[in-house]
Amino acid sequence: MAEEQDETKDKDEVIVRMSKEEWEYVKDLHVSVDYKEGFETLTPKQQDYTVRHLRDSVGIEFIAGLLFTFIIMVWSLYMDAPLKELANPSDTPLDERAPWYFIGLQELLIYFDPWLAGVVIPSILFVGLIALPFIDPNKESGIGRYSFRARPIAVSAFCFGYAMWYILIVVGQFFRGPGRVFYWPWEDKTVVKDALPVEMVNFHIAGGFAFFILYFSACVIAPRLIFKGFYKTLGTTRYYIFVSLMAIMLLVPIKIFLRYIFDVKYILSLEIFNTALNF
Amino acid sequence: MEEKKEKEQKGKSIKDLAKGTQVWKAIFGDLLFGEFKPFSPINSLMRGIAKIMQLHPYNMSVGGKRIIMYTFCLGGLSVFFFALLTCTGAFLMIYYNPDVNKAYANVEDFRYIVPFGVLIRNMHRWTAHLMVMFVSLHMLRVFLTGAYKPPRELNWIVGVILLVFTMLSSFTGYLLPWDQLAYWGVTIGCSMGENAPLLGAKGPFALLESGKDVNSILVGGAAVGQPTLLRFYLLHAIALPLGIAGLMGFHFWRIRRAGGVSGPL
Ligand code: HEM
Repeated sequence: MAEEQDETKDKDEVIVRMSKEEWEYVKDLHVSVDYKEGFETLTPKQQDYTVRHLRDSVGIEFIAGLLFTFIIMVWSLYMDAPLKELANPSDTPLDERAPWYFIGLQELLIYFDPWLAGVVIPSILFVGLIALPFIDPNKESGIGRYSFRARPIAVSAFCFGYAMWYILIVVGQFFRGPGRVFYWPWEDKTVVKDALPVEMVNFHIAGGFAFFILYFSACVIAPRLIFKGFYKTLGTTRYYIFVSLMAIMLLVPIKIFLRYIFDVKYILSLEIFNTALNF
Repeated sequence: MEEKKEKEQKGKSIKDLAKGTQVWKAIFGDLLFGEFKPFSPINSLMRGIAKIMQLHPYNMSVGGKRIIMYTFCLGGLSVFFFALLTCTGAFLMIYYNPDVNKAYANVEDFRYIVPFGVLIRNMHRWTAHLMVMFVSLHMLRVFLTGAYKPPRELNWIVGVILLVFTMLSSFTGYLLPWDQLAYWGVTIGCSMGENAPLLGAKGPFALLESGKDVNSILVGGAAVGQPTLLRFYLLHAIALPLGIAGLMGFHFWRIRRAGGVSGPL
């Protein structure tokens, strides 16, 4: 217990360089800090630096707040929040859409069954985000600065997922017209476009199983071979968690690709206890 | 003598000239670029704010100009947006009734009757969009600077929950005007819960009937209606803001415990 306290004390103890006059001024703000003689010997520039940043950072945040107050005021003066006609449960609009931050999920509904798109995928996303600090084996480097080189795999993996989330939002928000049909920006969204009656195909059940088994095996084996020492630094548990999360994430673009190029409806369509499970 | 002065004046750039004016000094002189005077009123104000917020410890290692290029103020602005939403939301609550027969008319009143009603409603709506966007950008910056690594893992987890709460706040607020947009947007959103495996009525291996599944806890019935409006209103105006405020307090306290915002030492 005592040791633990000492440890936290160490972390709290900070060295602040300032002149005695400044110390007199700030000492009541941070009670736990002691004044040690000798800091007056620092160059004026150093003294200045250590104290100045507080004023500067709060000042900049203050100005950022003012700037955004201004932006929001102007935006609100010139653009009204939408209000359509009174809700009518018996009149489903043609272009029924979720609010923009959930439109990525609505976009997934086109490619996956609702239980996957609306429940399973967001849950995996949430759990994956929470587990992220524990999956990352690199506890030391790349803290406190923007650095791709210090942790290339982590940064690429996260940015890929983050970009996908926003790309889905942009497509769902700006490229979908009535009936959630794809519209290019230059097409008139008030003209209802018939979705072309495409015959969608499913993989044969054996093919579906084969696809998933091959896919997941490849995802498990490939990183071990490509990145040297990757498996070792991660450790077995972390490696399998990381690789399965990545594999699941990559399935989203793969499914979209299969849908657009080969009109694939489901890769694997199962029926267990009278329940259809489609992937 | 006079000529010399004039020449001197001409030699200066416009910026130097502007720096000499009282307006410039009043705005920027002390706050950002000027000489450091610990006892000046602006500086005292900044220290006061910092002290109350308990956000920036003295050893903050990021210099003033660098903080813009490091945190981009994204977390700070999220706090600011939350405060703005609380104020405008409190104003909207004065006139709003969570009743399907009144809600829409109340919102129309903001447009035509309530003084400053349009402005406040617009501000509430646009700020909510900005907040969702900035919180997710803040997450990106935290990731890219590796600020989730020890000792900050717990703060990352709190952050993820804050992100979800922020989205849920926006989502529950979306229903309140009770117009077509709101009704069908929320119907789409809630239909997701209906499809949960085991616990949703339409999901695989459904155990519960429609109207009694997980989704109906949120919706209060088989379809979006009066019970939904009341539930969403209570979540939106009481439960979620309290949750967010509490978690934010914890978030900031954790930043302090970690010795301040991570940054190049
Ligand atoms: C309502 C939402 C949120 C608010 C108001 C908020 C506020 C803040 C503020 C003011 C800071 C100080 C540094 C800065 O401005 O960047 C901060 C830091 C931090 N935030 Fe958030 N945040 C929110 C959501 C999140 C989310 C979604 C995450 C991650 C998933 C997160 C993780 C962190 C971490 C780890 C730090 C410490 C960063 C460092 O030391 O560099 N926060 N937050």
